[in-house]
Amino acid sequence: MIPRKASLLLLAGMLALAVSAGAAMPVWDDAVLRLFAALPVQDQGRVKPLDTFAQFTLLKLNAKRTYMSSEGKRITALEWLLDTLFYPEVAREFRCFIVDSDEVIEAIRVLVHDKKRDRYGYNELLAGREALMDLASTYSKIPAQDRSRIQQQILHLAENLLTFEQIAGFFDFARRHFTVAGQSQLAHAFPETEGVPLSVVLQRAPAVLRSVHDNLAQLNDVTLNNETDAMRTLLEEVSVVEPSARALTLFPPVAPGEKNWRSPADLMAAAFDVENPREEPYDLLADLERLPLLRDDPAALRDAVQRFHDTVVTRARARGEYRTIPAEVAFYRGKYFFYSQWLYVLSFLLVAISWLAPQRKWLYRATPPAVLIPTAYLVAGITLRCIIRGRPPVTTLYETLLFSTAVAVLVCLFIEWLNRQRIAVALAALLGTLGLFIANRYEVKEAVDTMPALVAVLDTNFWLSTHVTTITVGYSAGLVAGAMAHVYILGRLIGYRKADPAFYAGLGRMVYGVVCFGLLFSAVGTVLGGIWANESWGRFWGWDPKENGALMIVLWCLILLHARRGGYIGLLGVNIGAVILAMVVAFSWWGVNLLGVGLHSYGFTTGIMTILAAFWMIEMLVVLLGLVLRYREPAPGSTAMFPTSDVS
Amino acid sequence: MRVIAIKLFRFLASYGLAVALLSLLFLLVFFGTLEQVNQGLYQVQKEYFESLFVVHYAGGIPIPLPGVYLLLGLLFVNLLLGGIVRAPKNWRRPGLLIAHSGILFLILAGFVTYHFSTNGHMTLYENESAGEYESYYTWEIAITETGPPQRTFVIPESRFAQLRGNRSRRFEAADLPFALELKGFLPNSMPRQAAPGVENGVDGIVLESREASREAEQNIAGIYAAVLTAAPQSRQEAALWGMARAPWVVSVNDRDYAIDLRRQRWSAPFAIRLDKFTRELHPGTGIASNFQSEVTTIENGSERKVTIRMNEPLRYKGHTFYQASWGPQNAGPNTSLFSSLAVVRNPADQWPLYASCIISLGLVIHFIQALLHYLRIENRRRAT
Repeated sequence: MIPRKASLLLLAGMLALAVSAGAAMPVWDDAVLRLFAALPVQDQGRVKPLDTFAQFTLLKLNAKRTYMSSEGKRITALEWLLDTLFYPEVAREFRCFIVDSDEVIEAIRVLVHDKKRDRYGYNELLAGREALMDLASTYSKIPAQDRSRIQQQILHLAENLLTFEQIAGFFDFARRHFTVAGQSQLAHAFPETEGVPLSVVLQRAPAVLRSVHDNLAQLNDVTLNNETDAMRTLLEEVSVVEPSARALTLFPPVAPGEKNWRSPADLMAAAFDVENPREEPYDLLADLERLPLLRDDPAALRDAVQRFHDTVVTRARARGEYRTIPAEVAFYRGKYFFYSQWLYVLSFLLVAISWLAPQRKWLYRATPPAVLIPTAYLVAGITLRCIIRGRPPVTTLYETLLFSTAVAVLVCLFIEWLNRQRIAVALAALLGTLGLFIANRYEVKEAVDTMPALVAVLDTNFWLSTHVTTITVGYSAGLVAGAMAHVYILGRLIGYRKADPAFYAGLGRMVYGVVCFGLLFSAVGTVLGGIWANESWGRFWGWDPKENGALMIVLWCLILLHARRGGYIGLLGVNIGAVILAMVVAFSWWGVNLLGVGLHSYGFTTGIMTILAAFWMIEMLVVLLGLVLRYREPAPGSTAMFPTSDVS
Repeated sequence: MRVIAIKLFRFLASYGLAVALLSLLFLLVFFGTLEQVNQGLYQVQKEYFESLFVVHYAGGIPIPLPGVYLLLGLLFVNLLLGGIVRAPKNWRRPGLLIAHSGILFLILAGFVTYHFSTNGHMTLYENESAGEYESYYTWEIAITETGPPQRTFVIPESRFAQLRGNRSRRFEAADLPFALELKGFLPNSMPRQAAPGVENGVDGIVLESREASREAEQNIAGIYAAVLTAAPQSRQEAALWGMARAPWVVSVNDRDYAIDLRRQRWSAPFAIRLDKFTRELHPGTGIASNFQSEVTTIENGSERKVTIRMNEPLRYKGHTFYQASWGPQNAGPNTSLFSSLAVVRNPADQWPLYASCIISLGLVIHFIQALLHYLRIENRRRAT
């Protein structure tokens, strides 16, 4: 028994080996990759490089911008997309579907991997496809906020499977040839026995259809039946490939005023709309449909891709839709936010080392430049985004993360320049790391293009650049004040620089100063928001949750400043208050979006609640520690160091 | 007496009061925001933000609080006395004084807007025109004489909203040959046939009360009305409903009167005709890239063409017209669309803009001076 079982296993292993050997990863010529990367495609309301499309599609399926094959080879999103388009039989083996919980896999009765969160391949999931789609159709009827985590994941997986199928089947129209048999005008129009490609069908068939239509009176029943049968058969064949031919909208329209680009499916619909003849880019379809047939001939493929690319680019450029494409490719190639995140980590390490060796002045002097380098990267990335979109830096929730991180770091660096206490520079590095970590995680989680088309009310650079930018600076200031207050509270609690009350007085004063700075920007930003609302909705203030959140930041800052000036709280009070300010900022920035009411429903995000709740809990703890401090010892150098009538 | 006045002044001008008021305001805004999940914006706005007092239920525990209206009134006094009258007038440090006066102006703008503005909508299909706009929320009863002279008598909601249950009130006008008695107002209602023998409906109709909707504009009011004449003594009754297809018509002294429960209406100082409504989507998506209404203003026979779009309202004669919405929402490609323009008449329309300029100026002056001051101290500290 045992040897037999072993031999079976061996056989199975060999089979598996054979399958994976047969599914060798395709290799793409660099020139082809370059051409495809910058190929414009219209998706979700804007024209973008195919590279961007590939990245966000893979991000959605795989929760990563790259794909790691089972042999440990890492390929880019674009390579993955091309593999899927040109070698669907290979790509179906790719384990590129992220499943967060294996309960999803159990629910669709497919073999579960060892790890709870793992990636699955299309062919693995295929056995459960029917069950998956049934469940998804049931769960899609449940309102989004009432769905369980698993239900949500099942829906997500089903969507991803359909996306993949559409892309893998995109070139189906090109991989087959169409024939018309029998005796009919249509059959005469297609004498080729080996069939013709779709572009030829779209050229010839509508003409036949039109001529039959125009000569209806002269046709007898038999001929008419022949014609309709032939036409129906052909249309059925075409309609088989039609759904997946919608996956990519690659052809710029011919009419200059027309905004919608065309997919191969659009051309099919247009060609057979004989009552409404119009000029469509059929020549591009002819160029495109040759590509998958040339996949095993690298030189010919390169030339054909070059030709298609050049024609599309020329037309897109003439329409003024190509200008920012190379910049966008360069932006994503640059990985600005990835590099700056890790450079922030390094700069934080440097700051930590400079703490351990306080006598080495040169180490300390190196820290601000070390923080400035990733900040320069971050600012460059933000600037490039502004250039690509022709927009101010903040238009989406994702961009508020990038922008407020940059502002927070710069504010910290400014404070370090003022007081040289080595605290602010450390916070700069820390906030930079954290901010970009959250931004990058958020991008992965949302997995949608972060430069989306904007709804009409947001389509105004004036208000975006004034209100949104100002309010985001206000958020940053609130968070910086909160972060510094942590140092104040925790430092005093553990007795850091116990003998140096001036240090805490200076730090506390800084926190106070940042709260003032935050007040200025939140107040002005909030009022500007009101003025914008008055311009677009006809009321200055509508008690909308987002408006209220902003007002709460302003009110809290005002409470702190007036309580301080009135002598009700000392520096410790200001610092505890600043920690609460950070909580208020988190509520205003993210919390109100979770309420699911109001006009500012952009970036409604699920799953943020847990993170937010954890943040509030931790901050509550810091507040409590601050209160402990209040009763343990008198505030060092409070009023004496800080005459209320003097500085405000 | 003088001592008390001084004490009162000190209290009203104090930092303590400022902190207390701001803290309460903070709490109310927080609670009011959370409560919107349960009650919807309009109701919360009335209860929390436009009221003198409110009881907030935090997990079932009632917390009585002053309403935002009251708080803002007190804050105005506190700010005026503490931030302006009592504050040290150092003309070399004018920032705070300027900022405080800006905030006073802003609160004043809120007060004027709340009491003296009207807002509603004008909803038109293409080639339709109108000279009136109607409220999203509030109701009125209109009595229109048919036939010349055609006059309309109006009873605003504030006069009959309290008439719940069996409370009734009689309304009379010198030029009307009858009195109108109203009772049993329901803010959200649905008419139905009365169960015979069980209920005494009016004309066989009973108005059934419904729970107020979270979207306040979906509430349809209802009220029972009776027309009474003295000689000869008569009484005619009807149930009025906000979405009734036709008004209730009564005949008194051979004249017909149409009595209608309808959304409150205001007339605009000019008429508007919708010439063309356009809605554009971002290609391949359902995301709107632009809505616009091309309209003509008609005034004493003279016409002017204007385009109203998102962020570009029409401001004319104290009224502002905004592109608010459109419909029907599920329109096919050939359905004719309507455009809904929000209409606001607000004497304080631009005041917040002026106030924000003042506040910004004040804060910028103040904080820059504070920063410079700090830098001087810091330099001195480093020098020693």
